Amino acid sequence: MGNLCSKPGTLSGGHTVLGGGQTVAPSSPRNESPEERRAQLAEAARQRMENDKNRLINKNNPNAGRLASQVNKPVKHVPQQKEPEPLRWMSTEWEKVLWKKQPYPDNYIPDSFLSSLRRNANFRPYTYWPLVLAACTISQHISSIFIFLVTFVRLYDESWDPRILVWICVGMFLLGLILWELLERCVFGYRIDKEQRAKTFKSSILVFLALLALSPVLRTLSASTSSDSIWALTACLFMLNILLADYGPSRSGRLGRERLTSVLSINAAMSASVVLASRLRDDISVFALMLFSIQVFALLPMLRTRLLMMPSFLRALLTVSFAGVSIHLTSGLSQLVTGIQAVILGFITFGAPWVLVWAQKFKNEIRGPWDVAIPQVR
Amino acid sequence: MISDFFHPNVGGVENHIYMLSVELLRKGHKVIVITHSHPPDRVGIRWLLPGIKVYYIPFVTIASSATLPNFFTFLPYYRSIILREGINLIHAHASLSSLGHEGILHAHHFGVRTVFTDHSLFGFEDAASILTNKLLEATLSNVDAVICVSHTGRENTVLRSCIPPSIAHVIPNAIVVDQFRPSEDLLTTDTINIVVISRLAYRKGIDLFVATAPRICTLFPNVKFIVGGDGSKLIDILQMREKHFLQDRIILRGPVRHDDVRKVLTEGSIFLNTSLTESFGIAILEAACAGLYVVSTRVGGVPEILPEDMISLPLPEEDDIVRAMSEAIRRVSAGLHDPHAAHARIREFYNWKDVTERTERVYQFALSAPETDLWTRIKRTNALGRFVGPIYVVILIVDIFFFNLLEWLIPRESIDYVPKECDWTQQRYEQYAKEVEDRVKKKATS
Repeated sequence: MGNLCSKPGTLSGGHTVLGGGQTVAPSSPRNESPEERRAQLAEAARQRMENDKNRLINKNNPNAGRLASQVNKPVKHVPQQKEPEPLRWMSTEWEKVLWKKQPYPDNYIPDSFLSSLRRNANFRPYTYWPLVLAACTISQHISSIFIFLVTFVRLYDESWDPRILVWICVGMFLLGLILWELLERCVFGYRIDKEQRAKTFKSSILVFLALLALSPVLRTLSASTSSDSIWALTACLFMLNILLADYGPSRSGRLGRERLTSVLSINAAMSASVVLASRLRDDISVFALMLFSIQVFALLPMLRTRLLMMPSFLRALLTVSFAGVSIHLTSGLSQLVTGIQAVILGFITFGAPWVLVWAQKFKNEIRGPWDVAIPQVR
Repeated sequence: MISDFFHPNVGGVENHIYMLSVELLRKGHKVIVITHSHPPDRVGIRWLLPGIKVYYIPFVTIASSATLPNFFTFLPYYRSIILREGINLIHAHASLSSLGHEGILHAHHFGVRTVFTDHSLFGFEDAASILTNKLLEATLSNVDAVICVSHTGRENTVLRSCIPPSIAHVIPNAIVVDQFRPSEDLLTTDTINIVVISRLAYRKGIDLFVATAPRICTLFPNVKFIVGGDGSKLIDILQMREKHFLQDRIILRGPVRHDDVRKVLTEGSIFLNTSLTESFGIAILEAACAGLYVVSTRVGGVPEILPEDMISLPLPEEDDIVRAMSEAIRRVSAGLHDPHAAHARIREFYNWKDVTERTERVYQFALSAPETDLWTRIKRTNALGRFVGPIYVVILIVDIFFFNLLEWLIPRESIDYVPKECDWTQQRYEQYAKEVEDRVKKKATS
């Protein structure tokens, strides 16, 4: 009030202005110039905007959750009313269009702001046991790698006879073939004709003989390389194999086109076996190990994609038997490695699915009209 | 105005910056543009008609005319330019322009206010979006005002950069209506030409076009397609054309220069846009302005730009587009769409003058905002995230040291300031143009 009185210009009508101010301002029609009216309207609009904002905060709309948190944050500065003139049409509803000139400021926050935001729209939560079952395939793969490593160590210290291994491989091959045919016939309803069977036998004999011929070459392949390098290289290649292997079920009934990663995975495993085989002492051991590696890394994954079609009980049983065999074989070599192996298998089968289920609560997928649409073409 | 994207490149952002600058200049503001250079010849300082000063800063571009986010290297140039030109407001454009980001980062050391315009939409899924969104969030944590080109774009920007929605303004793009007049002679209704002008890329939904065009051709034997543009999906269109024997009904025009767009547009009566994402869709507006009836997929900000009786908005699905196109063709062949009326309506909706006035208001908003002190800025930057926060705080602090080093190395007294009378203003430009005209006339008479 002091500074109001101190201004000589306003002193003359000072008391009337003051009187008007104490009552409600709009009810003084006498000195209501257009500017003052405009200012009052602007104030009302500001109030309205504040209310709008508060309503937005309080609104318990799950979609507006993120927005509300942002409005609650310290706003850098109060938005200013910059368009007081067209307030007479303030009653018109705000529309989400650009072509119409609307009597709202450009930074007006409508009630519908972010209403089209959808969170976790396509989200299907995983449950624990199906994940465990899916993880079984990985455990099987790791178990088979351990079985292969044990076989190598046994051949390396010459405690196993390579000839027996060759016979085991032949037996496994026949067993796998029978299983494959059974699955084809029972599950998929295909029938393998005689011609195709003959082809299979021909090519397998070819591979058998080629390996036999190549084994002297493979034995001396990396003779000049230090064994330490070989162990490190093998470890890396097996890691690559585990990471890239195809653990899914076969997409079509017949053998479809292989994915690039699974081809790379098989290649990594074969290279690992070649460099390991080059450490062995005689040709027959090299031959036996290579044969075994083909069984484990090339043929078994193919069979495995089919086995995934089997009932879950059988899959679990298969995993348990694989893990049992590998742990049993390793325990003959080293207690420490057996322990590590058991921990790895346990974590992958039971721990990893639990971590995934737990991590789902952090899932926050934001979708809205700004996303790139997926064209639907027939 | 700061952006990586400016003339001599052409595009939506480039055009937007130019038009806005021209209009601001006309209103008596001083506008300079800072962008990166285009060696060998477009370097240094250039003037663009009608008097926009453009600084081409020597920076190496990586891909599609964007520079790498360097954070500091721009500062020496930047400081000199801002000081000698006496700038009080920085307006950065486009969220992929690192020059713009850098401009906003440095601006606060001078107490210069910052405005940012976002021209595009981004998702939240892929790695590229996640990284650029974080970059944007870091930049915008201290910005004074943000402009988005559509309401959808605003929602997207607010979500991406976590700014308070009250500083985000929506100001649409505009077009120069006179450049897109419908053709005077009425098109015949017995053959209906459908125009498609777009970059032929996946994001523009060319797959949808390839799927729908043959079906529309079989449904309506009097329909022809005119396709303008170039890109990786051209081969798909060529294959489709050959497979369905439509060589005489789908005419490919190749890349169309911006000046020629109107000519191509006026050959047709329906414009088809199959984009999968679009922030504003200036092409749609240009087509509607040239008097074409528009059929566009309902994505992004497209539903906002035109009233419902001027545009059909099918979903991005093959069947729905065919349905909407059939309706549009029937509508146009029945003569229900008047190109000149449509043109007159667009003239009411969009013009640069209006856009400029609204932008000026945002500038006022930014200038009247209280200045954020360094400590607040550091706190805000640190709040970005557990890992990103400290990294950006380090960047900010190093930037401040660098700035002070420059203050000491190149003191403000030693900088050449641009005198006021050296700038082009609208009046000076008009006066000069008149003088030149007179001189030419005199020469002609003598």
